[in-house]
Amino acid sequence: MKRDAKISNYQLAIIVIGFCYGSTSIANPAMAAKRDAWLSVLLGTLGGTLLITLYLYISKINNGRNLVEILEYCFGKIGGKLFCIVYILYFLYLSTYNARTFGEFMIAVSYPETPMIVLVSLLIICAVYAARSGLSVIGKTCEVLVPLLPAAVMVVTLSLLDASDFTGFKPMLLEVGPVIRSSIDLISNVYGDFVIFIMVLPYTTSAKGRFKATYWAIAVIFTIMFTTSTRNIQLIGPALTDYIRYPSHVAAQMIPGISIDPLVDMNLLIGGGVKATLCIYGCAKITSEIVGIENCKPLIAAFAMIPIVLGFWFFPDAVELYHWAKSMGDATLSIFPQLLIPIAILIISIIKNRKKKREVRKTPPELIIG
Amino acid sequence: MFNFIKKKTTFKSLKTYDNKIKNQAASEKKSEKASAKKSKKEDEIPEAIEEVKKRLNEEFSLCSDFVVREIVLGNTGKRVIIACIDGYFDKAILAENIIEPIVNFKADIKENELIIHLKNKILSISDLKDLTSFSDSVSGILSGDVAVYIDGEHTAFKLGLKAPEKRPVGEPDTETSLKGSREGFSENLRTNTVLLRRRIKNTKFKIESMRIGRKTNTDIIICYVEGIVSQEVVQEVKDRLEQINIDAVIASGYLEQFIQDGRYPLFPVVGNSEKPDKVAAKILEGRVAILVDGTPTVLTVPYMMIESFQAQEDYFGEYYFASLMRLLRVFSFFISVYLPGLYVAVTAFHQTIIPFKLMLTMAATREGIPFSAFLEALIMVVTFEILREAGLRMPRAIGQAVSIVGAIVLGDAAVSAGIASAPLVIIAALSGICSFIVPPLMKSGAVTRLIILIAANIMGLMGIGFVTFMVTIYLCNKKSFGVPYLSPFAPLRTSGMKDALIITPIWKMYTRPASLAKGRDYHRTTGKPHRNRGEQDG
Repeated sequence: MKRDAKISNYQLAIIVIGFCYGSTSIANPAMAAKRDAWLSVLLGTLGGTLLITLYLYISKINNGRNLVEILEYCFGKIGGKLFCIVYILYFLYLSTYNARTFGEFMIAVSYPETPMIVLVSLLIICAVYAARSGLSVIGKTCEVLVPLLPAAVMVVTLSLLDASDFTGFKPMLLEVGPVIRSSIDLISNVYGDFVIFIMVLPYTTSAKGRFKATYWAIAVIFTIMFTTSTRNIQLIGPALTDYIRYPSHVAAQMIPGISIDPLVDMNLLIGGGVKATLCIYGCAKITSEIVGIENCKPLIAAFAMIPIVLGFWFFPDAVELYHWAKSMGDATLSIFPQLLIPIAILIISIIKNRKKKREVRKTPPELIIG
Repeated sequence: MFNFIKKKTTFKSLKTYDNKIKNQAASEKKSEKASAKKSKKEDEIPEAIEEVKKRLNEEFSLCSDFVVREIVLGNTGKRVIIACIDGYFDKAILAENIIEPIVNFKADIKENELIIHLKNKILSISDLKDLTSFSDSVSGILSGDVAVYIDGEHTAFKLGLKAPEKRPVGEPDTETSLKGSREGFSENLRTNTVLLRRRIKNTKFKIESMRIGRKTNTDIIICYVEGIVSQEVVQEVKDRLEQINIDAVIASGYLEQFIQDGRYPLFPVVGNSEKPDKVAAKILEGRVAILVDGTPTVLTVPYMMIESFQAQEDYFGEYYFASLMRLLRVFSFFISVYLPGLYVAVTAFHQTIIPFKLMLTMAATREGIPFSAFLEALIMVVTFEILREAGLRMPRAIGQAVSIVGAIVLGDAAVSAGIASAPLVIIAALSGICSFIVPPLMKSGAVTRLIILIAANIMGLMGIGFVTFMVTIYLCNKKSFGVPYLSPFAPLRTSGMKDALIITPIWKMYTRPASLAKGRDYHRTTGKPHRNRGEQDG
């Protein structure tokens, strides 16, 4: 199945970086492992790489089909559509959680008197404008803005190089449970969300470089997370990380002489914006394909309203949000769309592909020629 | 149910409406063909010279600059009319090369050979054309040609003697250059094409002409190099120009607004230049130049944002210095756009960013000022814009007065009077001066600066971030004649990066910009020819 290429593999990598960083920039789930957070990042990335390889492989063996087509191919017309609805709901949950976390963070650190709805709406307006402009524009915008994210991390880390204290890392692996728990949380929160890219992958210029581009993106994300988590442990110490909700923000405040934390926080608009954009775009695209509407643009604004409302409904206050983030609720909820359905897709696709191959072999050659 | 019936009827009515339109279009085509045939006959040059004279007088009634002279064609006794507009050419040349030979004509030739004989032996003018259409002869006269009508002939001559008053080729005020050519385009179209042709002596360099403007009939020229430029871009330019329906084209700016991508673009999507060397270089990169008669500013398309930061001197050696200057230009643009907004955001929302000692000084300077930081910044930014506009529009002789008023009265006195704080005067001045470094983006920069200032007052850095995000999406969305506006940054083109923020030496720019000349005559140079010489000598 051939499609109009909309983004290059480089753009894919950049979108992946922005998308995944969007989740971790505010609160890195690995920090729950305290002094072993770096180990948690390492384990989480290894697990995440396996999961992403699964998604990439699904896209590869389905030869240019997008998520909707793959689901319909594997589960039939009606079953496929039902699973599509599951994904629409999941992506809506992702954008809701992302927008709400962004709003909560902004209120906590910079804008205590601003109504939350204004902050969340600003993020969603950006996302709607980008999503309405299409995938190629999302790719180009990420090319311009996403490189600012690692740059900001680099500036903060380099500014705090003299404050290194490695005693915080010892003793290692005192508790194994939190490390594994936070690793799983990291996989589901950061890498598992890559499932949305099954919708995007068929629109890249070449199928060859997809794996390479994505692995490069994972390497960059790992470097950022590893750097920030080790830096935060050194600066704040393992004991305080449990009490501080936003350690990266506190780290930026600790730069001597100048406090650039509001500038660094602006990056959240980029990371959060990319994630919200892609989730809303995914919802609208899947819906348009299910219903049979050619252009998904009119649906985008409608889908964008939902996260704003749902955010206040799901998480009425900050405590509810923090409680949800600390529990394994997110990971448990994500198992179905992130792991179980993709594994089922993989198995069914392999069986169906083999059947097709056998049928082709059985067909007499003259019939093929005829 | 009712909805269904409604839908059906709408569909039916749509179908009948469609048929109606089709029939109407067919009948219109028929009548057009018939009227074209009729008008062709009507448009022929009349045989009787009296009829020609009558029609000319009708066309040019109340035109005091119109000159019509009736003479006799030598020994044949035929009457000849010479019609022209006064002032376009030297009258002596007309008398010597046209009137005298016609009056002194002596030859014994057949009636049907008269036109060929006149053309080949009598009228010694290099630019001579036969005409059979009366309207063509009229538009020729209006353009400055001389029309010669002969009694009893359907054919007239159009003689190009045009030599109007023109400004000499000089250095343009808007784009001064330290090293390169000092020549600039003038208002004369032919002079401008010669300036380009002198730089691109190649038959592949095409110069196509057309006319736009129902009342003005302005000459337009499209230039490009065949083989380098994308034919789709050329076709698109022609299509867009042909679709323009306007009564008058006074300057190239009129066309710019009609052909640009998007209805209300915030940033320029059509290039403007008065320098032939710059335009020639752009044409050789795969762009199309549009020249308009009477305007020294030439339009170039497609236009990318990075072109606003490029200067002609960047390519005249010292590439490391040129790279530094280009980075400085980009940095200046960002300063000019963001600085006032950042000041407002920092003083109103994020005071912690400022180092403590500086904060104390700033607080001391702001003491006693009755306005908020935003209002203060707005006053200073608007004042600067007023001064800039006054400097542009006023007669040059009083320029000094404006500088004095700006620097002393509005700068120093505003601080002393307690209207603005001293740091803000520096910020407004710096942001204003920085905007002059990138002239093509000066206007869009001023608007963006104002938007950012307002956003910073409402939401602080978050507001600035929001505007930046939106403007970036807007720019990524923008295309100029099919070429991404932010190319080579988005989408990233590594070959284009050799002439983006950092400039490599010319011999390293092996290819033309990929977004402009993809797949055609792509290669510019094969590299430095003697790069191994040093090693061989050693």
